[in-house]
Amino acid sequence: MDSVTIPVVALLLSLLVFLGSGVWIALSLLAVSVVMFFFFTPVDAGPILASTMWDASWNWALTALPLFIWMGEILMRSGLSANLFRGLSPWVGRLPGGLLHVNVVGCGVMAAVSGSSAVTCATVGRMTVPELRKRNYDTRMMVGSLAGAGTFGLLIPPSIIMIVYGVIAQQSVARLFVAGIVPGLVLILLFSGYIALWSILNPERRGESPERVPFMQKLKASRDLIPVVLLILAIIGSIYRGLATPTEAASIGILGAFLLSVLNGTMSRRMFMDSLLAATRISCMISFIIACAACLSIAVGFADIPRVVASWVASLELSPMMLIAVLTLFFLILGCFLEGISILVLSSSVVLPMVDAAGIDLIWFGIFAVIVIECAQITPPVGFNLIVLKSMTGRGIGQVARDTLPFLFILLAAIALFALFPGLVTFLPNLMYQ
Amino acid sequence: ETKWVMASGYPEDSFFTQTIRQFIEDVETATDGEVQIDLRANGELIKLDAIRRAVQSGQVQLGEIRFGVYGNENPMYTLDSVPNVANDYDEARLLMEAQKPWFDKTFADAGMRILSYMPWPGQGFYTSFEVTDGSEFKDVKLRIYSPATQRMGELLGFQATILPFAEVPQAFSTGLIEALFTSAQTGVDIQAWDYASHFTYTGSMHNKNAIIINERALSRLDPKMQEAVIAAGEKATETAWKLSQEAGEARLKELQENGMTTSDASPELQAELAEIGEQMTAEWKESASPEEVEVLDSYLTSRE
Amino acid sequence: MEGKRFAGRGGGAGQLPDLQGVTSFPGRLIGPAASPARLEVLMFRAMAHKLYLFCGYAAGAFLAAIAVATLWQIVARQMGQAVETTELSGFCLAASTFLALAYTFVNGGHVRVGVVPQLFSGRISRGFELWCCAVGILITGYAAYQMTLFTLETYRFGELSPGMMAIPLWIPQSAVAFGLAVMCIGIIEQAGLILSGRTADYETNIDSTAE
Ligand code: NA
Ligand code: NA
Repeated sequence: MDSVTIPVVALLLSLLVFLGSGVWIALSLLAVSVVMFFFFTPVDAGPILASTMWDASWNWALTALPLFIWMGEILMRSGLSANLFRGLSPWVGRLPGGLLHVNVVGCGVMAAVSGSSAVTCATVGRMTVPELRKRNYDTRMMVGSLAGAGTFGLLIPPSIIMIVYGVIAQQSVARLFVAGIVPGLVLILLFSGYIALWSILNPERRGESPERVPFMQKLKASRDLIPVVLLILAIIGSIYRGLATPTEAASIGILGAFLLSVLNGTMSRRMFMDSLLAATRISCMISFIIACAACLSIAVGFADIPRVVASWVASLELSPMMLIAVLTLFFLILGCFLEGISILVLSSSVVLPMVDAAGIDLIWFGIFAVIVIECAQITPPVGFNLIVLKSMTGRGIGQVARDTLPFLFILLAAIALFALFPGLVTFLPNLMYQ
Repeated sequence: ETKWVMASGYPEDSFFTQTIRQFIEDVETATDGEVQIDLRANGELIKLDAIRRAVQSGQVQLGEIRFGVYGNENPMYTLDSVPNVANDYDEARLLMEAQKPWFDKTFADAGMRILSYMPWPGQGFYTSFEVTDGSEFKDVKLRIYSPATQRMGELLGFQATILPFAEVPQAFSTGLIEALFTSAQTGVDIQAWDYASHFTYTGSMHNKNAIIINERALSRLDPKMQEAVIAAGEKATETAWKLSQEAGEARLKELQENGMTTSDASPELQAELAEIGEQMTAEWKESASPEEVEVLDSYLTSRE
Repeated sequence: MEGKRFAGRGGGAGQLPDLQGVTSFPGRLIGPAASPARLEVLMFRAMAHKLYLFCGYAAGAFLAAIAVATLWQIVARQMGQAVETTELSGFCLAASTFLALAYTFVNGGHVRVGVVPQLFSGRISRGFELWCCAVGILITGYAAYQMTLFTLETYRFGELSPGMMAIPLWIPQSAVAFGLAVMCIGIIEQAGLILSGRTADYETNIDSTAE
């Protein structure tokens, strides 16, 4: 533990200085990784930074990111996402929390399509933020629920992080996917429940609720839902009918959104270019941060911080429940600075044997790890959902993080719930694969 | 005291990593702890495909590589992927001996040295139906990962589908792919019993991994220690041949324990594979240079 | 919204959106006292902005190429052809990300935390901006330099992509190195703007996409 005290302090301090003084997040991460390499590792920083940045930037799993963002841009600019809200509004608009539930459910649906949290958050946010703003919904609740629910991308299958976990922990990815379903639904309920409760307690901050309309008229308004619902069905269908991989499905989404906007007459050369360039800028911002975060993770890995700290935890010989509590804290802290997959990979060589030895089911632990890494997406300073929403709403990272805090607590509460009732996680996979 | 960093690509409990751990122990013992190696397994710092480059440019001193990745650079890297060129561990060993001079020269030219060769267990087909003579393969969607597996798949009547490894489990469960050609080890890694019911072992390919070292790093040791490191590498080759065989059998058992039906390929299927192997060997020869063909010929003579 | 702002400046429907810095800079810079030295600065800025824009369009084209390549792979699979575009898509992604760096930067698209600078204004705030730019110039310059060395080495080693297409890796890598270099130029140019007492483009063009 002592051997990494100085590197840890240096890591925190330099992050604080660069990020706090306003240096762009990606460049701060890169600068800190140079500092770490230079002072605390035996290797030459330059070549390894270059190769890490290169490897992180052409990762195939990431190619879905710009495509889904582009799809969101087209849907928003073509008015199709506005239609979606018009169609949903008479149905859910008068419930406590109103259209805020669209954030949660929308992220749940998007999560069934995309394997990443930033993609889920960015795609849904691109469609819902303008509409919710138009209807005067509380900004803080809107941002918080989006950032929180965006993390479902990791838990609800398909999920990149589960595939990575499956390979390093030698667990079946299929079982992990199935194991993620119930926790995903539980979290959707918890999030929606919190939104409803909040809305009842804060009636003065609710958004505009639509007129009460007769049932037949509601049905009529639902016609607006048809195009987007068809698109979603096409994307999900293409995956589950074995037509396309989850990554490829993004391109079906683009094609669909493009056709729909041609059909409703909103596609023009300018709209095409505007949506493409906006998607280029957003995806550039996110992918560049991902590449730089990979550099920092590798620097921290070479400085041996995760392994040493994890070994220290192992030496404490805790009871399973205490171990889970300590690991939650450990992952939460790592999650503030490192990118999700790296947290898992860098600590796995020590953490997994320790967990196995404590008699904890490795499928259960996979779901646990995924939820903790979901938390990492919404803890500052390096939280991808926070970054996405900051760019989308123009609010500060601190503000966005504060808005999201209740949802972070719900995620932590869910971990406690699943620790107390592990059957919620393991029941379904055990049922499906005897 | 010399401290080296080594990058490798597989999890702790894979026989590759076990072989490497043994190698590291041998180096440390033989040099009285003068040479210490910090192993970063599982691609945690450098991904498997990037390790050769990392060793070549000196980012790390040692690494584990998979030859098949470099098939686009030279056909020699995929000679062991041609079906029925080397059918069992003994033939795989002979093939390795025949290839060694070529590998030694190629890696020396690039400033590296191969310390040890590690064979993959033989491969087989994962399917959800019983395989008899191979006629069942017609139009079945097979996941392939290299030009060699593509060619073999197509010649067997499969419909070849290319997928990154990470997509395999999902693709299997949605029917995007219906068959897999890989080792028992990989089958256990992805828990293939959740997707497939039958494993038909053909043994027909023993691909190789290798432990490589940066020549400059090695030459900085005094000659005695250099010899110790090289000797440990040679011992690791023996270890790997043993562990690979054991792991192959153990993984096969694991497949059975998890309810899969495993069987050896029928003589009919083997005959078909041999025929395809012959055709692919001829094609391989066409793509190779005269010196490379000589390697194959010398192997074939040694096998006689 | 950013897209509309572009469109508004770009003019007619057939015209492509333009960078704010380019379309607006004559009004901002050419004063009555435009000296020859100033004109050179002006020329540099105009060229730099053209470069960002060109790279931005290229990045957009690579993004669209990902969609096309991936669709091609799906269609080919349905027709029983083994086409692999996963590597190609990955390379397009890398090229898109890095070529768009400077273009995104001057449009205020890169995100920052900046708690402290918000507390100040005037000279101190300008000091913070210059510090940020200095760090940015150093780090992107370093990254561009290292990535160039890396790319040259790849070329020397003759590395090919492992997939079916066997693409020489130095090709996509040079897009990454070039993008980083343009980003470095971009920060230098913006720092010059701040030094001459103006507000940087990345502050005026906040790319808040959902405004
Ligand atoms: Na998902
Ligand atoms: Na975080």
